[in-house]
Amino acid sequence: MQLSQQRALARQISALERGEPVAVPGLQEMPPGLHVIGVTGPPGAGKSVLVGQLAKHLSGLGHRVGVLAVDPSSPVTGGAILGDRLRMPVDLAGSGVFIRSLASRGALGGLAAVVPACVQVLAAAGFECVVIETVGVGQNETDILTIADTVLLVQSPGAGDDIQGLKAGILEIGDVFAVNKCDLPGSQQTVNTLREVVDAPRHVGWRPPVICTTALAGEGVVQLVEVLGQHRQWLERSGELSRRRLRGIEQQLRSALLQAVQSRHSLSDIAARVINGEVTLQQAIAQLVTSVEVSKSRAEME
Amino acid sequence: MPIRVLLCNPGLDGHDRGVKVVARSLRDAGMEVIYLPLRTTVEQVVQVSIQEDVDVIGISNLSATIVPTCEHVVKLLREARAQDVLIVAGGIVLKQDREGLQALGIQGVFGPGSPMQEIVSYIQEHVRTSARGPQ
Repeated sequence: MQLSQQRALARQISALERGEPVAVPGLQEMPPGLHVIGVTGPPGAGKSVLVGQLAKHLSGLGHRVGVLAVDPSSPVTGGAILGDRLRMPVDLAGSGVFIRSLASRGALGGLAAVVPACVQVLAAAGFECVVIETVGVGQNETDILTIADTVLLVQSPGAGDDIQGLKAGILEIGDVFAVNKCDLPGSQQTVNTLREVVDAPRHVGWRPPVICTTALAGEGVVQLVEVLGQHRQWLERSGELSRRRLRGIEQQLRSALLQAVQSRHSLSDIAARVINGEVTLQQAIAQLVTSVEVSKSRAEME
Repeated sequence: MPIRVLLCNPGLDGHDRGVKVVARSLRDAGMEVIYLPLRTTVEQVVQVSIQEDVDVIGISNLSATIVPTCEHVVKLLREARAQDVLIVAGGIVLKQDREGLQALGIQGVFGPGSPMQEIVSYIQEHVRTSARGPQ
C-alpha cells in the first residue's frame, strides 16, 4: 500500500472521528472473506504485544491486516496516551499492516464509538483481517461483541481463583482464550480454571479453546492464528456469522438512536419533571416518542 | 477535537525520560499522544505519523543529532506530501543547532527546563487549524 493511499485512509478515519460522513465506494458491502477479530482482556495482560504478533503472523500468511487499537481517554481532560502501538513491532507498518490508535473519547464499553465505521472503511480498502484491541477491560465492558466476528480474550496467570471464573460478564464472551505470559508460575492453574469455565459453551459446536501464549517470545502465536481461522470457518458453516453481524448492527442502531435522542433531550430534565409531578412517567415517554417520530418524518421530508 | 501528537526519539539516542514527561503533560492538556519506543528509524516515524494522521510530531534527541534527524523527517514528510504536520523539537539542543532547526522551519524548540505550559501553548497556537476542522 502506497504512502499516499495510507494517508487517504488515515484521513478518512480522522473524518469519521470528527463525525463527518465518508464517501467510499463499496462501503455498504461486507467483503465475503472479512474476519474481524476482537482482542480484549484486563490491562497488562499483554493484549498489545499479542496483537502485534498476530498481525505480523497473519500478514506473513499473505493476509492484508488492519489494526485498530483503542486506549482510554481521560474523563477529566479528554487527553489520552495511546500506547498500544509502542508494544507492537515497529516495522509492522512498513510491512503493509495498517495500524491506527484510537482514543475511547468518552465511550465506556471498551471501544471508541467510531470503531464500527473504521472497520467498514478498512474492509472497503481491501483489508481482509481487521484486529481490534479494546481498552484494558474489567468485568463488564463487552461492546466488542457488537463488532467482532471472533472475540479473543487474553488473560494472564494469577488473575483469581475459580470463583472469578464463575462470574458473569467478560469471560462469557470469549470464543478463544489466550493465557498469556505462560512462562510465569501459576499459568497452568489459570489454563485449568478457564477450561472448566468453557466446559459449558455458549454455542453448540464450538468449545472455546484455551491457548498458552508467551507473546513477547512469539510462543503459541502460530497455534492461536490457526484456532482463530478455525473459528471463522465454524462461524460461516454454522450460520452464526450472519446472526452475529445482524445482532451487532442492531446493537449499533440501538445506541445510535439513544445517542440521537439524548443529544436533543436532557433525560435528567425530563426525569426531574416526573419527580416534581409536572408530568407522569407515561406522559413523558409519550412526548419523547412523539418527538422522535416528528424528527423522523422531518428527516424523510428533507 | 483533541490534537493528535506523535512523540518519538528516532535514532540511537537512549534517553526517554524527558519525552515521557512531555507525553504526560500533553495528555493532561487534553491531547491524544502516541508514543513510539526508542531506536526507531525516521522512515518508521513518518510512516506511523501518516497512519495515525497526527497534527504534531514531537522529536526528542539528547545525543546532538537533532538537526540531521529533523532534516530527514522534513524531507520524508515532504515526499509524502504531509508537510502540513507541525514539528516540535526537544532535548539537548546546542546553540548552533537552533539555527539549523530554524532553517528547516522548525520554530518550536524546547531544551531542558522548558516550562510544560510553554510547550502546550506553542502546540495549541501553531497546530494547523485547517487540519482540525472540515477541509
